[in-house]
Amino acid sequence: MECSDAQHLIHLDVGNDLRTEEETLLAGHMEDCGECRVYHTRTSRAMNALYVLRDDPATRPESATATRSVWANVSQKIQQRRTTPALARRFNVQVAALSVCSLSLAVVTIVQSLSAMRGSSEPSGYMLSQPVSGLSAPSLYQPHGQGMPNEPYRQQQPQPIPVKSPPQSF
Amino acid sequence: MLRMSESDAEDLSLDAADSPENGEAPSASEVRLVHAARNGDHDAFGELVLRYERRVLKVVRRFVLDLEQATDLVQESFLRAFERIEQFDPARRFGPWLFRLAVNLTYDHLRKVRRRGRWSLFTDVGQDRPLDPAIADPRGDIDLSQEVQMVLAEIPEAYRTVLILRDLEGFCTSEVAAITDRSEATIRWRLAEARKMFKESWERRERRSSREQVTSDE
Repeated sequence: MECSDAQHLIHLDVGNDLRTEEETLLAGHMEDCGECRVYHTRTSRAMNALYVLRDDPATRPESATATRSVWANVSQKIQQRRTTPALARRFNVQVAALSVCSLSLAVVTIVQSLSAMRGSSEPSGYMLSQPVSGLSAPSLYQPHGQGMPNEPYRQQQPQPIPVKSPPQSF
Repeated sequence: MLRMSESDAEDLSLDAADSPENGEAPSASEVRLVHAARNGDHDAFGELVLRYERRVLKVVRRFVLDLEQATDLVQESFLRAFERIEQFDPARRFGPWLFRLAVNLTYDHLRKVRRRGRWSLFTDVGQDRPLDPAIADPRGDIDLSQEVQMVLAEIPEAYRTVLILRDLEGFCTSEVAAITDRSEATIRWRLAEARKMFKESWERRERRSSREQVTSDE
């Protein structure tokens, strides 16, 4: 047997988890192998440290359960669950609320983008009738007659379109 | 070669953990109580709760030190057991099945706590982490059991569970197999590995302590 195999068995031996045939094999190897004997001693020592936790007062439930049993609460909850239908018990209000919020947000977004698209496809009154360069800040207020304070509204006179006369070649 | 990997151990399993022949046979009174509870007898289930609650709490507290949280988990385990008692095979022992529910619930709880800690902006979760044995412990007067607890916390969950159930709670390997829903061969392999991990980690900590002792003496 190789030492690595023996060490695997040593890990089981320190907790008395070896089968009879494995015990025999390990004992035979350890008789001849001083290194594995040392390994066994060190492993046992580490395990003894672990066993300190067996009686650790932090995990000892005696003091906690001596006064009250969980049965009273468990029994009460069982009764509650019996009276509440399974579907209602499993219904998650938070998920439903979140879904409704997401859906509302999605609807609002879609409606807004649809109206924006409609607005851009139908040229309406003022904004598109002006050249882009003519959109100075005060002019935005002009169509409704509510110009900037102390600035009278000046209507632009339409410029006459020059008409070209036909060529007189004949 | 005697040694095998965990997957080899899994392959060799013949569903040994779940066979009723494994471990002790269920006692007559337990069979009667389980049968009555399966038929909706509230008091019979109450009797089972009273029989097992201390032991379940002890196991849960190996993973969750906070008594309030551990008690809540025990309550939830019994509630789940009551809801699923129809699925329980009465030919098997009630104990391992109940402990499996409790251990699984405890794991779910711990994962939830970890996840919450990861995603929340401000958290205390990280502060409860065990100290690294390679780093000097700022608390000089820490006692032995706390040190062992820290070393234990470094072992991966699947191995730590086996170590706790076998070496601290005294379940035999077949019972651990039934609780963790693994084959006995897998449990033996994991147990050996877990003890090896614990030994190595413990010795590292001891070496560091002795180095510190030498430094302080100088």
